Parts: sequence; structure tokens; C-alpha cells
Amino acid sequence: MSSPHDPTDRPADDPTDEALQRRVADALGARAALTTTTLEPGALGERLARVHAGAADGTGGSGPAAATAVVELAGAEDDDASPRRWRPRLVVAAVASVAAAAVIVAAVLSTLHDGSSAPAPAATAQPSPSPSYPGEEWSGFYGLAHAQWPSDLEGVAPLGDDVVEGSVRMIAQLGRVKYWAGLTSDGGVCWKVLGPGADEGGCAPEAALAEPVEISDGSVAPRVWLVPADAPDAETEPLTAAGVVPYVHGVWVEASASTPPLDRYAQLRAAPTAADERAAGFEYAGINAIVPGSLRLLHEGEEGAFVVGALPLGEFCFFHLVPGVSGSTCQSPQQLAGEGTTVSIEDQESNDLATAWLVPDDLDTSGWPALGRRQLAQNLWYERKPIPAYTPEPVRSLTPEEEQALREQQDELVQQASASGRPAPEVTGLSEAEATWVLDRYHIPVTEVTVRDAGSASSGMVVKATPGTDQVVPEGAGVHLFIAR
Amino acid sequence: MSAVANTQDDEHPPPVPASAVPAEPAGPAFDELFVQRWGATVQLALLLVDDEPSAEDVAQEAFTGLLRHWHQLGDLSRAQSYLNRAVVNGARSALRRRRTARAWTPPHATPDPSAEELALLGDERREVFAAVAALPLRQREVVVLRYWSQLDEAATAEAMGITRGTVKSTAHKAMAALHRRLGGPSTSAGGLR
Repeated sequence: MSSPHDPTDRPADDPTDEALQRRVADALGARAALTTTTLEPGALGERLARVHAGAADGTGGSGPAAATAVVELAGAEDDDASPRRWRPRLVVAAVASVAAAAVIVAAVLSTLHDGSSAPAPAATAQPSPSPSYPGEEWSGFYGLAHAQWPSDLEGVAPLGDDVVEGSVRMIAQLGRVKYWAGLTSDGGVCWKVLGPGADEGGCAPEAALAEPVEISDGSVAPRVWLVPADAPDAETEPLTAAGVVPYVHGVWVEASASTPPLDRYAQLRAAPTAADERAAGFEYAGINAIVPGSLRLLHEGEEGAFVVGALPLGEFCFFHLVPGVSGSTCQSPQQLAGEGTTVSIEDQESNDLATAWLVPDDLDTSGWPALGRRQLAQNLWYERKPIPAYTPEPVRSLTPEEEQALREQQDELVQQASASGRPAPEVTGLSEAEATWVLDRYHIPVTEVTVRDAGSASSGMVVKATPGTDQVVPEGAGVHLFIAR
Repeated sequence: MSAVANTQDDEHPPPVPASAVPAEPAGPAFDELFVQRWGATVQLALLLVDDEPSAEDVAQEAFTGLLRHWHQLGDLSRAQSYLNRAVVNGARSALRRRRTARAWTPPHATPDPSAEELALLGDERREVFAAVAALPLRQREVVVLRYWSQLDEAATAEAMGITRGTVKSTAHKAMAALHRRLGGPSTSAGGLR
């Protein structure tokens, strides 16, 4: 994005010299241009919906706010904390604050997109046959709550007609074994595991997703579980004991089956070249704890320069540098292959969005050219297309129930912001030394280390941390690491 | 998104014309304005609060306030003035909350722009931006509004809720401070006073 004003229209009555003013304007403009806030129509629509929702909330709405609904599902509570394939139980409407917020936004967005939808149901983690925005149905499993990627669409046919097509997500790829899950129209979940020697699947009925669901028991393919974001420690402890650790938010996998991220990219496995050394000269080294020596200049051409560097947490920082514009994001391999990084390129002739994807060697990209994407280099795909026109549509007001849920959500956010502490970073999968180093960067001490049995997890690997990822570590407290024996 | 929920700064509510007149329904015109101005509004907020999640929150709250007062604007041209002031107020609130909620946080761990972002600026711009960021809040606001938003003194005064004279004197001090820190040709700091 560019500055909204003509730089030649500079105030003329300032007493200081123009050279300094120009330097200041130039630096501020460059800093402002680094914003990654998206102008993509869908995201803008979501923002606009929040604005309308916020304005409606401030005007008092239409009637008294109702208490958050509670949805009772069939079945009895069970005191056995061990995870199992599925187990009916009570599901409180506010399964997670994020889920509540997602439904609120979804309710507003639904009118943005089709203008005629009925108010959204009470907030639960249940799937909706017609999600109002991509990924809504997976809001309790953050790593899957995204738009449908090509790798997700691969699973539509194997899962068959039992599931809602738009809900299908690839939940993991471990080596050549791929795992997909999809939701049925009545709230159930089905899954499919395909790979060399593996072809299995199953389904669980409504409410199964309220607690961990086993996708693969390890008999023909590495173990994989779907684990809700708010799963209590008692439910995840047996997984930890078996060496099953978080993979992405909402998906846990057998630790010994997960390929180290750096090994998944040919360009990152290769020894650094002189060009890579030049990438290091871009001053990225040391940024966000980028692993020394991991920076690679993936490609440099008319599309710009593309640089990637690894983080010790198994994520990557991916930079797309175009003269005058830059895009960067630090994400998981799944996100970078699915969403990529996007920059808007505006000039006299075009107003385009350029998206670049960092793609692991084993990801099937055979269908990507048909989507308009092209491969620029190993592990690097690219697309540039005009920003589609955006036509805003009327937005309805929130229902009293939605207003109440929004207030509760805001209260919770304020409490989180006011909490005296800081969120813990993810350290699962690292060695104790690496985890300690990462925590130190967040000024969080390691207060206790426990060596324990953890199935097939490699000896020395952190298989659990308490507080866990994104949980607040109180001021003065630290993190308890559990290390595989 | 930031974990901070923004609220309107009640101490300095953005101005609305005293003579409010019935206006068109907010829908299409507001939505069109939002699409046109969202990016620039986030950028302005970013220059005041440093981190993008907070900037997006500030911008969102500014547009929310604008929508609430839409029918009181009377004149669509007032919308940009409202947004400018709402962003300044929102940024002040965000920074105040940040100081309160994270007072314990070591200085180097405050939510400044990420290192990756600063790295992309280059040495010269990074040095200048750091100097601007180090200015007292009001001076920084003046610098951003005058030299990035290109507002004149009157518009800057309105956005900040201060007089034109204060804008002028604050700008003098800010530029003098930048001169001292950055050096530069011609005018000396002393000559500015």
C-alpha cells in the first residue's frame, strides 16, 4: 500500500529543513507500507462485519440480552478421563471463546455473503452444514480453521458423500501417509487415512469432537488424534504418555513419525550457496530466532525475491520482497503451503495480489497449475491476480444473544490483556536445551523438568509443557517441562 | 488480533457537528468508505502504536465509532476528520492500556514492530523511524499527521484536539529533536526555536 497522499503536497509552513522532512516522510511511508493488513475482499468483509457488529452493540441492540444458551447432547457423563474414539457428554455452548467469536462473526458475515441467512445458532463447536466463512466448523481446532486448501480438496473424494465437502481438511501428512477429516451434516466427524499399506477410515457421531478423537491407532499408520483446543489435561495426558504430541493446533501425532521441518524442503536441505549468503546480508539473521545458516534465497526474478528462514519451533519465516512492497509471515509449514504470504502490488497498470507458497517436497501440487499457480523454484509456487472487485452488501443487526456473547468475549479479552503474565510459546518437540533457549527469549524460566515415559517419542524431546502453548505464565512463575525418557 | 479490546476514549470523544442533520442510510456509503480507507487508516494507526494487531484494533474501533455517529456527520467530508481524530484517540488509549497492563514487561520486550519488519526498512529508514518512535507521544503524533498524513496545521490540531499554536510549537520541538538525533543538513536545532 502506498501513502494516501501526494508527497509533493507537503506542508510548506514548517520551520525545519525540507530534507529532514523528506527523510521522515520517507521512513514513515516505508514503515506504513510494511503493514500486512489485507485488502483481500473476504478479509475486508469480515472486518466490515465486525465494525457493524461493534456499532450495533454500542447502540444497545433490540431488547434484553439473553444468557448464553446451553446445548445438551444425548448421553451420560463419564468420569473416565482416558481419551477414546468418542464419548457423548454435556457441551456448554461457550466451548471456547474463540468459537463464540467465530459464530458471531459468522452470523454477520452470513448476511454479508447471502443477505438472507437466519441468525446463527448458539455457539458450539458443532459443524454447520453451511458455514458462513471458511473454517468456521473447525473453530475448536484452530490449525484446521482456515479456508480449504488444495491438499484438503484431495480428501473430498476418499471421504465420500458422508461428509460436507467444504468441511474436509487434511489434518496431517506424515511421510507419504495422508490423513483427512470431514464433518457430516448432522455434526459427526469422519476420517480417512491413505498411504503405502494404509487405507482406513471411520466415523463418530455428533458430539464426538467435544473431546479427543482417535484418527489412527498406529496399526497401519502413525498415530493421529484430533484434540479440541480446550481439552483438559486429564484427556491429553494418556496421549503424552504414548508419545503423541501437538502437531498443529487441534491435531496431535506420534512424535517419532513427524519429519523434522527442515528435512521437508530440498532447498533447505541443500548447503547454502553464495546467493543464500547474500540473503543473510539482508539482515534477517537473528531475527525472530531464525536458525543460523537456515536462510535461503529461494528465487530472485521479476516476481521479486523470496527468502525463507527456519525457526527452532518448527516454523518458518517467509519473505516476499518486491521493490517498494514487502510481505512476510512466520508460520507453520502447513500454513505456508496452504495460505502462503500475500502482498498487494499497486502500480499505474494494475492492482494485484501476489501470493507465494512455501511447499514441502512431498506435497502434491499436481493440480496447482490449473488453479493459476506456477512453480518459480523448488519449494516455491507463485500466483499473481487482480484484486477482485468488492461489493458490500447490507448487514443485519446482532441478535440479543449474539450481543451478549460478544460482550462476554470482549470481557474475556480484557481480562486476558490485564492478566499479569505472558503466554507461553510452543516448545513441544524441541530438545530441553532448545526449549529452554526459546523460553528464555520470552523471559520465562524453566522451573521444573520431569523425565518420563513417552511412548515412541525420541529421548530428550519435550513432550509436554505446563502451562502449555498460549496459556498465560503468571508473573514470577515458570514452565514445567516434561522430557521423554 | 491483539488480545486488547479497544474502547472509545471517553475523555476525548471525536467531534461531531452540533447541527446534525438526517443523513442517508449508513450502509452502502459507509461500506464504500470503509473499503477505500481501511488500509490507510491501519497505516496511520500503525505509525502511532507500532504493532499491527493493535493498529488494526484501533482502526476497527475508529470505523465502529464513525458508523455509530454516521447520521450525525451531516457531511460525508467530515468522515475523514472523524477517522483521523478517532485513530489518534484510539492510539492513545491503546498505549495507555499497554503501559498499564504490561508495566512489568521489560522494556525490550514491549510490542514494538517486529525485527523482521524493521529489517525490511533498511538502515537509513530504520534509523529515522526509530528516532520518530522515540519522540514523546504528542510530538510523534504531530510528526505522523503532518509529514505522513500530510495534514495542515488546522487539520492536525483537530485530529489531536489541540490548538494550531500547540501544533506549531510541538512540531518545532519534534523536528529539533530529530535533528539532534539524526543530524542532517542546514538548519540547526537552535535555529528552530
